[in-house]
Amino acid sequence: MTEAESTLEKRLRRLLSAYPHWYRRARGDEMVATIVEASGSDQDRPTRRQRRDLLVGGLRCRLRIRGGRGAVVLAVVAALMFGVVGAWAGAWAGWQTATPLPGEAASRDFVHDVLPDPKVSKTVRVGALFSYDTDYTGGSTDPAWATALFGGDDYVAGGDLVTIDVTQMHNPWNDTMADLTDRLRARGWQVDAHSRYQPPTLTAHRDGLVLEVSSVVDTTNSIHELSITRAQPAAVAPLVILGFLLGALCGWLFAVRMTVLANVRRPGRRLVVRIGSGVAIGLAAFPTVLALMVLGTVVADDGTTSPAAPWTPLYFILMRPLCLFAAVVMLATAATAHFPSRAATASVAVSAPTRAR
Amino acid sequence: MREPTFHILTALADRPRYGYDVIAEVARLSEDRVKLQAGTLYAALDRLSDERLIGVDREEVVGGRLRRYYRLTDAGGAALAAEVERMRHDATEAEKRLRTGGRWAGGEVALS
Repeated sequence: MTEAESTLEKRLRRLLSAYPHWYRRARGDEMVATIVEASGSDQDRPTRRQRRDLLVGGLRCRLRIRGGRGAVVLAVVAALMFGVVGAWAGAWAGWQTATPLPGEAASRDFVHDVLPDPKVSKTVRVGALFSYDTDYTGGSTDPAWATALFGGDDYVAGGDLVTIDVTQMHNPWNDTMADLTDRLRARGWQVDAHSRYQPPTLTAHRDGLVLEVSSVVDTTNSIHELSITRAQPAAVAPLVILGFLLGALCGWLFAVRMTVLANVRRPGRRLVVRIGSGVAIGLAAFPTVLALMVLGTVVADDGTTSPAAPWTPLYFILMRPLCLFAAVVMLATAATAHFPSRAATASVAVSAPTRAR
Repeated sequence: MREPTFHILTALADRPRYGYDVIAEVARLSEDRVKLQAGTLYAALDRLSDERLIGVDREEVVGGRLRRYYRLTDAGGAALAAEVERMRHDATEAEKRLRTGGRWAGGEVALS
């Protein structure tokens, strides 16, 4: 080995870090030997073409799915599932920039300001970004562990809820709504929807807050609710998209790793990976589709209505156990497939499918 | 089948070869049209191995460096033969039509 070859070899090994560790372990020495032999005797550094070839080759190797069509399907589904989780993380980060709620006292003052003669019967504040609607009505009767495990329905935006007793007011509610619209506009609120159906409802927004006035469905229609919630911050939609893309990339890389392990010639491990991946995908399929639909509405949200929770499927009844169980199965499968893996993965890339006859 | 793949399989058709030997043979077979780089070669070898068209024959250490020899499998031989047959059919068909059109000049295209 000449000094020039030795320097070239060191530089080639640095370039080979573009490839995954397990691939370098299997192929590294062989690739270096091939490149050194193909290079001139006085060459002490890789050519530009060799550098580009190794960098592109390494990236492709990291992203390449090994296996048949089933492996590609696994990778696409994993990318979608991880993309959804990434989008949820992005949405959570975006929601940290939401406008603070005015608070119970401020909301009560606001109602007195915009309604001529309000009869406020109750004010409730739910400070969380999103919560089950039972938090507005004094808490769920279900045990906490049941909700934590199985989820619940009506997972809605947190906010200040002011209940108004219409029967105690002097003006007819229709007139009150007309007055309310005028007063809101005078105070800088943009009134987006004012239904003239009975009973009338109203939606307005200003400075990152959304105001909704609606009737409580009961036999008399005498109770109306005025809710002030945070509008979806502008940062949520781009962070959802960014989070989805990063999550999808992680999902794809995870699938690459799993297909590498699934192709190892150890029947038990291959079976574990295939069954575990299949079960996890089956469990998470419907929540993933539902999550993608919800995320579509989140990206399209223009901040004028009470927002949907981006992570609704994670809290929704029956969807939550599916998500949690899928995550447990996926993690257990990955953990089982990885230990022990050193000897097994080293043989992947160079395994001989059939011997010469 | 893409040209580099065809030449790699062809290079392995007569005997097992190691990495640099495959690169050199492919360049010779293609009259220097196909000059494989190592990253491209090993990506192709991985794919062909996954498709069970080639396999590892043996390993040697020469001058302190690893040489891993690859050989064509039965499936690889069949795939290469099928590709040869397809190319021969296509070439025959093209020649026939060139002759019909009076444009065949013994392997050279007659320019009108």
